[in-house]
Amino acid sequence: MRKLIFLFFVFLFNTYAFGQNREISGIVKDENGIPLPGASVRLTESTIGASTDANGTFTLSIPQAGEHSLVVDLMGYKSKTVPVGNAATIDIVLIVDEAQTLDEVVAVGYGSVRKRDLTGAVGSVGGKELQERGTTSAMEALQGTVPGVDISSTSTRPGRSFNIQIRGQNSIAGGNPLYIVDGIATGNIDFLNPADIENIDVLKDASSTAIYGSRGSNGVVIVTTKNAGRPGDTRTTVTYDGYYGVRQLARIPNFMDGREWVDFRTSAFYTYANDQYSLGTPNTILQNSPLLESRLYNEEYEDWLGLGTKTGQQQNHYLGIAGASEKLTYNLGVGYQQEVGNFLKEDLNRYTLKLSVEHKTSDYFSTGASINFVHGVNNAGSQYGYRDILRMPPILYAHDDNGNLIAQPGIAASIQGDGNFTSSPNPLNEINSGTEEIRQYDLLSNIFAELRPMENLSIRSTFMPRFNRTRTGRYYGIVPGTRNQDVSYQNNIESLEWTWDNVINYNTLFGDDHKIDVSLIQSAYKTRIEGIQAGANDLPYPSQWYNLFSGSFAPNQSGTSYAETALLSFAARANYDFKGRYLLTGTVRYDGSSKLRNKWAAFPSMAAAWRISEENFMQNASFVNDLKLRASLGYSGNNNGIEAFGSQLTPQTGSIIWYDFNGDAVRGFMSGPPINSVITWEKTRELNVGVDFSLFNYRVRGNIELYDKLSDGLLMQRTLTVESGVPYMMDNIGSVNNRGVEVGLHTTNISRNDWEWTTSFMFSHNKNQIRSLYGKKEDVVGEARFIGQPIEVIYDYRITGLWRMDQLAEAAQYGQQPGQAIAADTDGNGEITPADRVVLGSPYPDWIGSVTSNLRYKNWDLSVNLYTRQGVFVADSFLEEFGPQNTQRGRPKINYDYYIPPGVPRYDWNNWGTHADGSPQAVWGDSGVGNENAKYPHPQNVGPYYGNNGRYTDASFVKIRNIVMGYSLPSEIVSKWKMSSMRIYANILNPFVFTKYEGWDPEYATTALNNGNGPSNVTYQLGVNVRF
Amino acid sequence: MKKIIYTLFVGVLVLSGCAKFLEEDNRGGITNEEFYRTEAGYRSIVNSSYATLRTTFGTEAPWLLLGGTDIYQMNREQANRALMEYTQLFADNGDVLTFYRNCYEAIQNINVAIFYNDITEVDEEQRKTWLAELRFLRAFYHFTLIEQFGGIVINDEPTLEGPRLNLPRQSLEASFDFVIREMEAALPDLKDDRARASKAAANHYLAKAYLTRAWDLGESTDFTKAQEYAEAAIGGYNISIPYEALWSASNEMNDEVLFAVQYDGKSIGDVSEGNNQQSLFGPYLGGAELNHKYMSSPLIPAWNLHKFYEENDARYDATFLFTIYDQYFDYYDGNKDKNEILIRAYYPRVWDREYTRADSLAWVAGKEHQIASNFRYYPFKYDEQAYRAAYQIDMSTPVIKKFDSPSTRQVFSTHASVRDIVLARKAETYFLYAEASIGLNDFPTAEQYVQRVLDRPENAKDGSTLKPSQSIANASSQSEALDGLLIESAKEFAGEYLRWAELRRTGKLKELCGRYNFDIRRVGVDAAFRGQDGQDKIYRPIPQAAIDINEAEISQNPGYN
Repeated sequence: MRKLIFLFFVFLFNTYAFGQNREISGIVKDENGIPLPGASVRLTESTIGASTDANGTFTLSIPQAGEHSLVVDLMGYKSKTVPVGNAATIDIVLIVDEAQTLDEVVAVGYGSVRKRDLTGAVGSVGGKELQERGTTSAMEALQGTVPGVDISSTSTRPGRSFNIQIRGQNSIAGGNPLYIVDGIATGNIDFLNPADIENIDVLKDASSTAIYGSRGSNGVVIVTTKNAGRPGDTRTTVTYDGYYGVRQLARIPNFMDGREWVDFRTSAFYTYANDQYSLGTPNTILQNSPLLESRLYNEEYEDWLGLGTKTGQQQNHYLGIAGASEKLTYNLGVGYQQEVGNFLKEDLNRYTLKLSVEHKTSDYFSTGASINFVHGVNNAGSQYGYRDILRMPPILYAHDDNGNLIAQPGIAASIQGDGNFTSSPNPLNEINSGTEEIRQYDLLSNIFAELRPMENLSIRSTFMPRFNRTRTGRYYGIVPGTRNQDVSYQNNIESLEWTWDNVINYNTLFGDDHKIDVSLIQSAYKTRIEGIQAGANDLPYPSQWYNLFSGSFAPNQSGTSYAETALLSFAARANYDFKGRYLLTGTVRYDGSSKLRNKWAAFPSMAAAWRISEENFMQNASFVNDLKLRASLGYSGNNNGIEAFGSQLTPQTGSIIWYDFNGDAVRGFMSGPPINSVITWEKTRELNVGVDFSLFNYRVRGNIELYDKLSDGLLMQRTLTVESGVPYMMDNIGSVNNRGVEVGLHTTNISRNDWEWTTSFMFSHNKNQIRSLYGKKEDVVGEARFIGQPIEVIYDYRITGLWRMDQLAEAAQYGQQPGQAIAADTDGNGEITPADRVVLGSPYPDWIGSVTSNLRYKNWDLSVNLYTRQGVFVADSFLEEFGPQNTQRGRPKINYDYYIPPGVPRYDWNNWGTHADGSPQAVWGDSGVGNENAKYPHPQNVGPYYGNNGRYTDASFVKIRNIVMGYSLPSEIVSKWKMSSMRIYANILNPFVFTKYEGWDPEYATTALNNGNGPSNVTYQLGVNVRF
Repeated sequence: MKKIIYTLFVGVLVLSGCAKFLEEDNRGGITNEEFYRTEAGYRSIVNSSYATLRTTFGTEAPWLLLGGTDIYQMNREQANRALMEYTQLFADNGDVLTFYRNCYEAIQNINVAIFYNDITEVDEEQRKTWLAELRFLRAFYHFTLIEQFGGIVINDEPTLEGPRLNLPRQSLEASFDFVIREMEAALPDLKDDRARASKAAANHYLAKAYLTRAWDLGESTDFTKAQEYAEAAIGGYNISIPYEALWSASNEMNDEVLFAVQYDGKSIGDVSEGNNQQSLFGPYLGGAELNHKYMSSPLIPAWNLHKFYEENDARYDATFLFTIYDQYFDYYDGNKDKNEILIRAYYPRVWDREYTRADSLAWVAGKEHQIASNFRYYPFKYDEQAYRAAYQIDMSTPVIKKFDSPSTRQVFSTHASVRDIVLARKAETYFLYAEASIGLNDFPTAEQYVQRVLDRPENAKDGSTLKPSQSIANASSQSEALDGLLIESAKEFAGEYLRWAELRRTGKLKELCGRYNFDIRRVGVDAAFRGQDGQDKIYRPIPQAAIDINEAEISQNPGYN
C-alpha cells in the first residue's frame, strides 16, 4: 500500500514538473542485483541530488536541455558516473570498492576488529559466498574457502556430518574446533541454515584463539548469523531465499556383471594343496541351478543398487524480516530445509525459527536477546539394509515372477539349486522393515546487558544457555532370515550447557597516535548431559518406538547416563596501535577444568603487526595499496580427550554383566579403566608469521601464513601392554609438530561496467610429525606411531607383486604359495619378519587447494568452484567390503584385477550346453594361463604378509564442487512485482570428480558402509533470491 | 554506577565459589573405594570375574582349544585355515590375539577384585572364600595360557593408576610355579559349591597342572602329585550317569560336573547373548527359514572321530543327531510324534560295510509319508575322501547334539545356547589319573581308570561293557598307551574344550594330526608344522601385537620366528 501511495506521488510530481524540467528515475543495485538504499545520486556540476530509498530507487528532476551525467556514491562502493542521455529510467550498478574491504569488521572473540588492524591469522567468509554454494549444510559451504581449514564430508546421507581440521591434527582426542554462533559455544554448526549466515570467521593461530584458552586449541569458528541493521537506520527488509534441487546418483563404480562375478566366485573356491590350485566342489559354484544358468546365458541381471536407491531432492527456504527503529533493531527468520536422500526411506526435514532484538535504551545502556530454535527430523532408514543392497550378487533376483519380494533370494529354493548360495535376507525387506528416526531440538539463546558509563568503557554481561534434546528412535520389523521378532529402541539425550561471560572493555587514545584497547573477561562454562535409553523386542503390534514396554524389555539395550563438566576462566587482552602502523596484541587466559586433578593452566600469547604500507618510504610504491607483516607466538591447550569423571577410579556401571550360579542369576559390573592421576593439559606452542597485501589498486589481495605448532603433553589413547589386561588409557604421551603454509589470493582480473571477473585461490599445506613419544624419541611400533611421521599412518608390509606358479619353490622358502602377495624385504635380511613393515602413507593430505572463479556480465553471473585434496592415502571402507580386502566369497563386487591360477576350471561363457529340458547349461572351460600378474592376490589365499593391503588406496581428488549461473531480473520488471530485487539461478553441485579412487567417493573413503559410505551424487538446483 | 558495583559483586561471588564450581559430582557412578567396600559392590565384581568365563569360552569359536587337532576337519568357509592347518599360522593371527587378550582382560578384572578384598566389609569367612575363588580363577586363566603358549607373562597385580608397560615373559618353570602355588593356596578356603570355584575343581586343575608340568618338564614326581590331586577331585565318585542323561538339558550341574561356565535363560541380557557351543560342530543347517539351529560351523567332526566309535557304543547316538526332523529341535519335543512328523535329513551308518540302496529302502519302508520334499541323506562312507567330499555342502554331515539348548529353540542366533559350558567333569579326572599312570609307565592302572569311565551305565547298547578300542594295558610303549587313551578321550569328550591341550602336553599333537587330520595330511604334516625358522609350531604364537607393545623383551615361540 505504501508503495502504491509512493508511486502515486511520483506520478503527481511528474505531472507537476512537466515543462521546465524532466523527470528521471532509476534504481541503484549492487552487482548481484540487490538494491542499495542510501546511495547518493547527484547531477554533475549541480546541486540537484537525491538519496535512494529503501528499495534502491531514486527520482530526480533535471533540466530538459543539455547533456547530463549522474554521479553515484555509496560508502563501500566505487563511485560511478553515468551519462543520462534521453533515458527516463536508469539502472545503475555499483561495484564494491575492494579498498574498503580492509574496513570490514572481523570477529575475534569477545569483540571484533577491522581487518586492517588484525594481528593474528583469521580467515573470513561472507554469507553471500557461503550461500552461493547452494548446500544444505554450513560446513559444506565453508569447505575450501579458508586456507588451512580442511573440511571433508563423511557420508552421502542427508544430515551428514563433516570432518574438520584447522592446521592439521594436534591431538588424536577431540580434534574439533570450537564453534561460536553469535557468541554461544555450540558443538557443531550442522543445525544452521546457510541462508541465515552473515559471516564466518575462522581463528587459526594461537594469538587469535588465546582468548578462548583451552576451548580454542583446535581453532575457533565464529559464525555470525544475520542481524538487523544499525539502530537509527529505519527501514524494514524482507528477504526470501529458496532453492529446489534433485539429487542423482553419479559415478557408479565399475562393478562386476553376472558372468564376471561367477568367475570371481569360482576363483574364491580354488584351494591350494599339493603344489597346485584346484576346484574341489565345482557344483557349489552355481549349485546346479538351471535358473541361474539361464540368467547368465541371457545376461539378465538384477540391478540391486537401482532397487535400493532413487532420485533424491533437496530444498531450502528461508524468509527473513529485519527492521530497525531509532533505538530498537530486530530480526526474525523462519527456515525450512528438506533433503531426500538417494537411498530409499532417507530424508531430513529441518525447521528453524529465529528472533533477535537489541534495544539501545540510552547512550549508557543497551540490552538484547536472541533465540534460535531448530527442529530437525532425520529418517536414517536402515543402515544395514543400505550396506547389504550390494552384498547381493547380480545373478540373484529380488522379486519372484509375481512381483513379490523374495525373502531370501540366494537360498536353494529361490535359485532352484542344490544348496544355498547365500541365506542372506532380501535387503529390500530389511529396508522396508523400519527406520531410525532422529528428532533433534536445539535451542540457542543469549541475553545480555551492556553498560557504558563512560564513552570508552563498556561492561557487558552475557548469559548464553544452549539446550539440545536428541531422541533417536529405531524400529525394525520381522524380516525372514534376519529377525524373527521385531525390535524397537529409543534413546534420549538431554544436554544443557551454559556460558556466562562478563567482559569489561576500555579503549582510549593518547594524543593522536596511541590507541589502546583492553578487555577483561571472566567466563564460566558448565555442561550437563543426561541420557536414557531403552529397548524392547517382540511388540504386540508395530508401534515403532512409541510403546516400548508393550514388548519384552531388552535390558542390555537400556540404561541411563549422567555427566557434567565445568570450566572457569579469567582472561585479559590488550591491543595497542601506534599510528595504525604498529599493532600489538597481548592475551592471557587462565583456565580451570573440573576434569583434571591439576585443574589450572595459563595460556599466554603475543602478536604484533607492522603495516609497512603506512611507512613514508612506501608512499612511492604506488602499486602497493596495503602491506602488513604479522607475527604471533602463543600457547593454547586442551583437555578434550578426558571424559567427565575421567580422574576417578570407578567400576563400569554403565553396563550390566550377567552370570548365574546353577540357575541363580546374578549381576555385576566390570572393573573400570585405569586412570592416570598425573594427566594434565595438552599445550600447544604456536608461532605464526603472516603477510597481508593488496596490490595494483586492490586488484590483487591476499595473505600468506607460515606457522609452526608444537603440541606437547599430547593427550592420546595410549595402547597398553596386552598382558596388563587393559587395552588403553588416556595419557600425555608425547609431542607432535604441525608446520605449514597457507596462501589465500583474490584477484580482480577484469573490472568494467558490464564485465567483472574475479578469482580466488586457496592453498594450504601442513606437515604433521610426531616429535617424541612417552618422553623418548623412539618409535612405538605396537601403536603404529613413529618419530617424524604423522600421527595417523598406514603401516604394513609393502607388497611388490604375487608369487607365480613358476616361482613355487622360491615362494616355499618364505613359507608362501603361488597366488599370495610378496612382501618387500625392506631390511634386506633375507626373510620376511614384522620388522619389514613400513609406513606406506598417511590419510592426511599433502596439500589442499581450491579455485573459485566469479564472472559477471550485466545481469548474468557465473561462478565455478574447484576443490582438491592431494596426497591422501587411506585404509578404504569400500574396498574392505566390495573389493580385495573382503575374504567372504560373495561380497566383493567391484571389478578388480585378482590372481587366477593357470589351468583351473572356469566357466566358458562362449560355449553353452543344453539341459534335458532344453535350457542352457553352463559348461566348464579352463583358465588357460590364468592371471598371474594380477595386482591383487588370490581372493582366499592372500598370504601371511598381505595385512590390510587390499584396502589401501590413494584417495586424492579434484572436484568441481559447483557451477552456479544466475540472472538478476531488470529493475523495471522487479519493481512491477513490488520487489526491490530478484535473482534466479541454477546450480550444479559436484558435477565432476577427477580421481583414481575406485569406490563411491574419495571424500568419505574411510567411513564405514553402514554409516553412509554410499553412492556419490550430483545435485541440480534452481533457486531464487528475492528482496522486498 | 550501581550496576558496576553489582557486576563486581557478582564477579567476586563467582570467584569465591570457584573451587566448588569445579568439583565433579558423579551422580550416576561410584568410585571403586566406595563401592567395593560394601558387600553388594564386592559381590558385583566377584560376579563379573566369573562372567569373564563367558567372554573367554562362550563368545568366540574355540579355535585355539580345538582347532588343528585330529578329530575336527576344515570348515565350510575354510575359515581360519591358519589354525586348522598350521602352514599359514603366524604371530599376527587375530584369533590367537583375541584369546590371549580375553584371558588377560579377565585376569585384570580378577586382580582388581583381589586388590580390594582387604577393604570389603563382610564377614571374614565370606571374604576369605571370595578371595580363594578369585585366586583360583586367576590361576585357572594363567594355566589356560600356559597350555597354549608355554611360559607366559604372569600378571598378578591390577592396572589401576598409570600404565604398566614392562611385563616380562616368565620361564615355563616359573609359570607353572605360580599356577600351582596359587591353586594350592586357594584350596583350603574353597567351598563345595561346584557352580562356583570349588575344592573339587581346584583339585582337578591341580591334577592337570601337575600332569602338564610332568610332561613338559619331565619331572616324574609330578605324575604322582597329579594322581593324588585327581584322586581328591574324584572323591570316590563313580561314573554313574548314562551318557544321554549326562548331557540332558534338564540335568545341568549334575554330580559329574566339576567346573562349568554357567548360563541360564534368566541370566542373559539378550536372547542372542547365550553361548555358541551348540553351533560349532557340524555343517551349516540353512537359514532361519528352515527353523533348524543356526550353525556357525567352524569345526566339523572329522571322519576319524566317527571311525573311533564302535557299533555297540551308545555314546555315538548320544553325541550326534542322525535324524533331523521337520525342525531341528523337534527331536526334543515330546509332543511331536516322531513317527509322523517330516524327516528333513538322515545320516545312516552301517558297520563294517558301505550303506547300500537296499539299506535305504529298508529304512524308508513305513516312513514314506515322513520324507520331506527337501529331504537329504548322507550315509557314512568308509572311504575318507569320499565321505569328506561333500563337506562344503549344507547338512552334509551329522551335527553334535550333546550341547543342544532346546529351551531357546526359537532364537535364531549362533549364540542362542543357554546350556552351561562344561570345562571339567569327573570323567576327565579319571582320564587325567590314567594319563599320569601312563607317565609313570603303569599301563594297567591307566586302563583301569579309563575302563571306569567306559563302565558308565548304558554305555554299551547290548548291555555288555565297552572296552578300549586299542588296549592301553597291553601297550608296548608309553606312546602306544597314549594312543589308546587318546582314542577313548576323543569319543568321551567329543566337542568338549580339551583336545588341543591334551595332544600338546602328551607330545602327540603333530603325530596324531599327521595320522588323522585329512587337511594336514594333504599339506604334509612336516610342511604343515614347520615354521620359517625350521622348527615345529607346537605352541601357539605369542601375538605380535603383544610383543610390539611390551617394553620387556618377549621371546617368540619356536616355529614363529
